[in-house]
Amino acid sequence: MNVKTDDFELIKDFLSGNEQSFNLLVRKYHERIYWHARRMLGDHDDAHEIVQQVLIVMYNKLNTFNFNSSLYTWIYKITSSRSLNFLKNKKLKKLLSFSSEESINNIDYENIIEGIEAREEFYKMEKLLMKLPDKQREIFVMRNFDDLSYAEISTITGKSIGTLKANYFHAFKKIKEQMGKDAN
Amino acid sequence: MQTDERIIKYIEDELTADERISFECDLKTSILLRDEYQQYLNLRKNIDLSKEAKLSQDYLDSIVPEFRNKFHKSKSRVLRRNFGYAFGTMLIFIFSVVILKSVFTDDNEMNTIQEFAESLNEAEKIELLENMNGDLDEYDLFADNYSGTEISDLLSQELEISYNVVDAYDISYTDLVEELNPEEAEKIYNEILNKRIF
Repeated sequence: MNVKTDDFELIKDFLSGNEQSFNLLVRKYHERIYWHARRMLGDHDDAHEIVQQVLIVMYNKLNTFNFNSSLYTWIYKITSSRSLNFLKNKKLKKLLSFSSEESINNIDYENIIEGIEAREEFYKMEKLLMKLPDKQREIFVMRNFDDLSYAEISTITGKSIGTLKANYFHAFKKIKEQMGKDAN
Repeated sequence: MQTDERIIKYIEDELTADERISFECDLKTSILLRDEYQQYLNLRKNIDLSKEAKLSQDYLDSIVPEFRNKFHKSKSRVLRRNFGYAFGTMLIFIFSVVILKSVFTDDNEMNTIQEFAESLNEAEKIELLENMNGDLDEYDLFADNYSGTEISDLLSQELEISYNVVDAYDISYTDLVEELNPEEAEKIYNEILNKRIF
């Protein structure tokens, strides 16, 4: 049984009233939702908030899902748009409150990510990612961390593959340059 | 094609076969290109290392219960909010009715009558009601609806008394009624009921 059939069965079960099927769907995708949001937002609390929002959307809108795309793409679409909106709102709030740039504080959440070495590598990469403009970061994360093809990214973001490649190229170059600066 | 673009396309496997061969040749001869290429490889390595980060199982296990908890709270919040809206709408409707009523009704008049009625004691209320009934008793059905001639005709027909006798003895309808005892009055009443006069 492939992934799509599994998803189909789980959705069918959930829509006929089996709440446990929804829990199984969540367990299948929550980690991927979290990592995408985390890499986009650079903060555990914000990423956690996005995970909860996406689950609520899934719960309320699964009856409208028509299997034209994979459930994974559908969930990504929601996660991606929620993350970008969250960033917009955050910037607006920061602008209105005239607050200074917030530093990324992961001290309280050390236990969320397992393994000291992996955690350090993650923080280093997170710092680099946050230097990218939102749209470039989105493409870069989808391509390198979520292992999505340009065609899938195009479906999710609604952008042409040419535009995506151009954004990806700029993002890749910027991160490489930033990494060189940090090393020196 | 710029160096960065060539390297990225090479890494992404987007170069044509010829471009690929050319790039690999340049990589062997150009130190600058090799350095640049190495930086990209390091970046790729760091990406792969950071991808190995795993979330703690405790955190993952807490996501579903928290969602369930939040979701049920938000559902009950929605229910309470809807109930609140309904209650508010009802209050606004009631207030509107009260305000409109007060605008279109002469409250002073209503209040004056009510105050007057409340100011009376029991005896005064009974007296007032009797007076009102007394006014009704004084209403003279015969006087208002029948002329003297019609009554005279009625007397002559029913009692078989001629006009002359009525005039000579000056018999009035009232006198006749006063002379009747209860049995006679009952008999006449029954006869009148059974007879269609008009």
